[in-house]
Amino acid sequence: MSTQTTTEEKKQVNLVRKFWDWLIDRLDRTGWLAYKFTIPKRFVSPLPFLGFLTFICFLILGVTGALLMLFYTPSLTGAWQSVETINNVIPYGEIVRNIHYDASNAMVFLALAHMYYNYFSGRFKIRNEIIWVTGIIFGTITVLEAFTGYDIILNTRAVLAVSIGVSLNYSAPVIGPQLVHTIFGSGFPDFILRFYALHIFIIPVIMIVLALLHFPRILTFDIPIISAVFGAILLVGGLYPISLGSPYYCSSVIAGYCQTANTYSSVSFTLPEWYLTSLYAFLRTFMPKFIAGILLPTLFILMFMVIPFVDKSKKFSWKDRPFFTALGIASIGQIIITTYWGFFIDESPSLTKTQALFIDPVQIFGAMILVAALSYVGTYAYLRRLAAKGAGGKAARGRRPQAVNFLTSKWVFAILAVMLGFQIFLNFNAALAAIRGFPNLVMFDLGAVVMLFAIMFHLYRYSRPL
Amino acid sequence: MSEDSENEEKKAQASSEAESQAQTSNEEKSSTETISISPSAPQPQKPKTTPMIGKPIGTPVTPRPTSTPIVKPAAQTQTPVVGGPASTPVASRPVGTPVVGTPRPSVGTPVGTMGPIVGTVTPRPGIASLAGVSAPGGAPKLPPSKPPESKVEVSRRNFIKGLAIVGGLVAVGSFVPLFPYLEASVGVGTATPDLPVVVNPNVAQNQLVPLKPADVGSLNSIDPNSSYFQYPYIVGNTNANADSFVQCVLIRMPAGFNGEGYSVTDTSTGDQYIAFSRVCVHLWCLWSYNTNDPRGPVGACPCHGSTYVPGSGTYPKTPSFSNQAPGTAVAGPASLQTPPNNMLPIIQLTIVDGSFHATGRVGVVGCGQKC
Repeated sequence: MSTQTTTEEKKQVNLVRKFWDWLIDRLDRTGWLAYKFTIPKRFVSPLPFLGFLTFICFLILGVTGALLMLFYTPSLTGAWQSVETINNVIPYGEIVRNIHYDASNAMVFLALAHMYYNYFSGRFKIRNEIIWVTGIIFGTITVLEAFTGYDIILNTRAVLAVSIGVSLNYSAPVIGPQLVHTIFGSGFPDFILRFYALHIFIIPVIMIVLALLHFPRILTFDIPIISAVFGAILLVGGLYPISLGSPYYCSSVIAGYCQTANTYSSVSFTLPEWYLTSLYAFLRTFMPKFIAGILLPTLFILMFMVIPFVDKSKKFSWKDRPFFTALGIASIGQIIITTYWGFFIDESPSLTKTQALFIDPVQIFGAMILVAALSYVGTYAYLRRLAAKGAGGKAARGRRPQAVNFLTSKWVFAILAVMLGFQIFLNFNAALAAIRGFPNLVMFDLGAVVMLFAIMFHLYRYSRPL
Repeated sequence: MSEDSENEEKKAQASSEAESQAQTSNEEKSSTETISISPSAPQPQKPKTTPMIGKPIGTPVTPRPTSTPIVKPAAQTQTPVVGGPASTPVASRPVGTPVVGTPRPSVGTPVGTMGPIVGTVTPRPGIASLAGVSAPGGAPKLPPSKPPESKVEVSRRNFIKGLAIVGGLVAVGSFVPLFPYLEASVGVGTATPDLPVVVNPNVAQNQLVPLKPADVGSLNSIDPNSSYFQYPYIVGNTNANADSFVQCVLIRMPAGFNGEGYSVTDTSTGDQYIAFSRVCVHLWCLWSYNTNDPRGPVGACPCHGSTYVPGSGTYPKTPSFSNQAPGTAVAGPASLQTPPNNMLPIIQLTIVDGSFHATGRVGVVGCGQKC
């Protein structure tokens, strides 16, 4: 801002500039500069770069995962104990673990939102078939990665989930048993070790290879939104810390023996994570397990995978593609219904377990068909109304009024200073909470700090002259 | 006439040689792409090197005998050789090249329709062995005709490609025997029971206290009539004993229930005991026994609600559960699976010196009693 730069400052700037240019030029020989990062100067909607936010979650998971790996033991009788140690003994272990768990949920959710944004906006049509197909595969693999992740904790839910996952693969016709024997081994000690190998290496490597086939070369690096995502993960982790559960094996190991006094306890009900509850609802209809657990979800995924080859119209906007927009809305509706239904277990004591768990297939599939039909009717009706109202679209509406910068720079500085002060206060609080042993409060405070930084950066960017 | 014929001969030979050259040059061109000779460009006159057949011009070529038909290869560029019978011998052209010329009968016409010229043909010895031309009447006797060798022409390039592919397949295939690496088990494998005694789960495991009938369902168990144990039990190997597939349930059967030969009786109290694998045959969760289930004493799985009966008995509240064989799934998804996947494997028990011994298993864990 000052126009009186001295020659010294100019020289410094020149040196930095020179170094930067040299660096970029030498890096140009490597693959690093295949990607071009654009940093928006104004606020832009995060919807177009939800994919990059998913990648940010992947980075968070990688870092926290590496830290967890230092203390986790993948043995059948030591896994839960190691997770308990991480949670209760290792300093900041609970924080790292909660960040890892919440980031995994955030990653699955952001991946789903990212897919739907590209679906409704029609961006998959711009010669993006490979990117779309690898994206669907990426999404499936992300869910599998998250699944193997919460399976290696080996609390009651995890052990049962391992059983179900392996036996579903086993039920595949013809190749099932051999597939399980080859990929997962035989016996639970094998399963756990291989789930661990899958989770920390094999699937991440596949994801990285897929990323090279899926990331477009221009990536939007929007600092406030990235910070907001990280802040949200921390906030949620602080408000809802994940419980350890009870071990399914060995409450303790004495002289090499599993002390089974309190183990193998009867568990009333066990639920998977939200992204698999719909599968759980299918299984609860008591349909044949391969069809319910593998075939139907695979068909659902395949339906998405072939979309760019089926939707060949030249129209991009969701308003101009009523059929496929309705299909998308129907799929969202079905996901919501089946996910909710999977969570819903009537726990009134008069019902037996079987009665409580049973979902009438006629009811659930009827509901899904009804949702599809309603989506179609509703979407067509709404689009017709839209077309009737605003013929001409954007041109008829006129240009959006330019955003007016109503905050003077004095106000901006004042707000930034207040936020900074609040951040310092929160940091202090977090440190105190850490000393006093309230890890969820630490996380909440840190989450607020990061969120404040996001808001501050956004405000700063908003106030800059264009 | 002879001059003309000679000129025609020369022309014919030149053009025929041009054709053959064109063919080879075609191949060369496709492999090296440096030769710019086009097939239609006139070739320079080459000195005659190949012997002529010796037939006078105009002589219709005797057709090949029908017994030795010319084998035409499938996709060959048939460049018809223009020229009379006084052209280069057939050996220099691929088999099947139609030899077109001045009026000649097509292949296959019976020999008898030939004109009188036939008699004047004096085939050269070199040609006769290949072509099998028979000259009835007057011609010297020929050695028995050999059928023309049917060659499938493979270019050198394709041959090398084929070698490379086969080599690649062999290279990849030589790693297939290493496949069992993936299947080697780290965990339990086929464990042999070290300990026939059913270890009391309520006491510290390192003491290996045997389970007595009176201890079944004691204080630490949630249900008063069942205990959980491992079969086969591997002494000292915590990992192996924590495997789901060795978890079993020992049940004190309700009064009036029939174990159908799989149960043992405690002579002092008259109670019957039976044991099953704890792995549900639906999706391999571990079920638990509940004497006080609303439907009666059954085992129920927490994952999807599969329900198993410990023996055949009467269930007043749910008559469909009555009189089913021990370990049958009577409700839930396991009951909807086709036999043999709807019955639990049974652990065979005996009572020795007042404590339980597990001696064997009927069925395959996770599959069913009759698998």
